[in-house]
Amino acid sequence: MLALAKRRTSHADSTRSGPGAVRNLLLAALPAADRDRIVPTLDVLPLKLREILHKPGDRLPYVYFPAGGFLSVVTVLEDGRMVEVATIGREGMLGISAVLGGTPVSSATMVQGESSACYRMPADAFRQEMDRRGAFYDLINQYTQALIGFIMQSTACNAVHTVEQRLARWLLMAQDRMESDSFPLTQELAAMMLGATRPTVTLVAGTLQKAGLITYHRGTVTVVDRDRLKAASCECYRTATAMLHDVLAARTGRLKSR
Amino acid sequence: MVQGRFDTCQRMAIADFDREMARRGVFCDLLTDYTRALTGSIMQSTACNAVHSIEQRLARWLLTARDRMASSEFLLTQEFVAMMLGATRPSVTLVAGTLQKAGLITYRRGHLTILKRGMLEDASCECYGTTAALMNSVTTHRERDRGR
Repeated sequence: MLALAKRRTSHADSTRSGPGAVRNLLLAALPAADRDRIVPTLDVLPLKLREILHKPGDRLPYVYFPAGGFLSVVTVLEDGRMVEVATIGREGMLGISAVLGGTPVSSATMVQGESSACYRMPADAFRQEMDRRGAFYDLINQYTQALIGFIMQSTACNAVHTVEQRLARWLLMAQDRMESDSFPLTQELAAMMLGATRPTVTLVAGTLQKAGLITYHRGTVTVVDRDRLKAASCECYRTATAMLHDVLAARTGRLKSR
Repeated sequence: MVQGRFDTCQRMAIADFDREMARRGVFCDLLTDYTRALTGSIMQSTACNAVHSIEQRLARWLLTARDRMASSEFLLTQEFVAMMLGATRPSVTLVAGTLQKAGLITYRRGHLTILKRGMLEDASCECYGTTAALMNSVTTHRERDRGR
C-alpha cells in the first residue's frame, strides 16, 4: 500500500511555502524561515479512505501532516477489535512516536476522512529538525502534549459518556476536519471507532436522525443542526478541540507580535 | 492524588529536570522511553474503558495496585474505585461481591486482600498484561545493558 502511495507522491513546492500555501496548520504556524527550510523535505500524497499508515509495532519511516481529511489512531486489541483513541486532521501530525522513540505496540493508524493531500516528512529529516531545538521542536512538543491530553480526555469519555454523546462528539470533529457538512461513514466503522456494537450505533444514529440533527443516507452522513449536535455531545468535543487549537493560537499570537 | 500510601517519594526541581534533559544523555533517553510507555498505557486504557466490563477493569486495577504496592493487601474504598473506573458505586459493589464470592479477593471494612492472583489475572482483560509489559520494558533492557 505504501509502495502504491509512493508512486503518486510529488514534491511540495518550496517556492509556494507561504502560510497560505501550506494547508497543514502546524506547518503554517511556523516562522517563515523554519517553514522555508522544512517544506523542501516534504512530499505530498493523497489520503485514501481506510488506507492503513502503520500497524502495531511498526517503526514509522515518515511523519505525516494532513492537509485535509483526518486520520484515526486506534488501539488494536488481541481479538483484532480496534478502538479509536484520537483523530488527527490538518491541525496536527501523525508521528509523535518519532518524538518518543517508537510506536506503541498495540497502536495503528488509518485514514477515516479522505484528502487529496497530506505532507510527509522522512523520519531522519524530522529528527534533524527536532535536534535544532528551534521553533519546530517547540511546536511539535506542544502538539505532543495536546495530543496526549486529547487521548486522556478520550479515556475518561469512553468510561463515563454515552454512545450518543460520543457519536455526536465524533461527528462534530469529523465535520470540522472535513470542512464539510457531509462525509462518508459506515455504521460498522463508527461502531468500531466508538467501541460500541453495531446495533447500538444504528439505534443512536436513528435517534439523532429522528430528532433532525443529522441525516444518514447510503453511507453518507450530513450534519443538519450543528448547535443541537453540540448540545447532544459531551464536554469532550469542546475540551479536546480547545486543546488542539491552543497549540496553534499560541503560535499565531507570537508570530503576529513580531 | 495519592492512592497508595508510602514513606518516601523523591522529587526534582523543574529547573534541574530541564537541565538534565538538555544534556540528551541516558536520563533523557530513559524519560523519553518512559513517556512512550506511559502514552501506550493511556491508549490501552482508552480502548479498555470503551469495550471491557467493569469486572475485567476492576480486576486489572487491583492487579496493578498490587504490583505498585508490592503487597496483596491494601486499603481501598468502593467510592474511590467507582470514581477511578468511571462506574457507579452500586455496580462496583456488585462486581466486588462477585469476585469475593468466587474467592479471588476478600473485602472487609475498606481493607482489600487478593487471595488468588492467577484467577484474578484470568478475570482481568488483556490490558493488565499489556500495560505491565509496556512499563517493564522501560527498565528491563536497561538493567540488562548495565549488567553487561
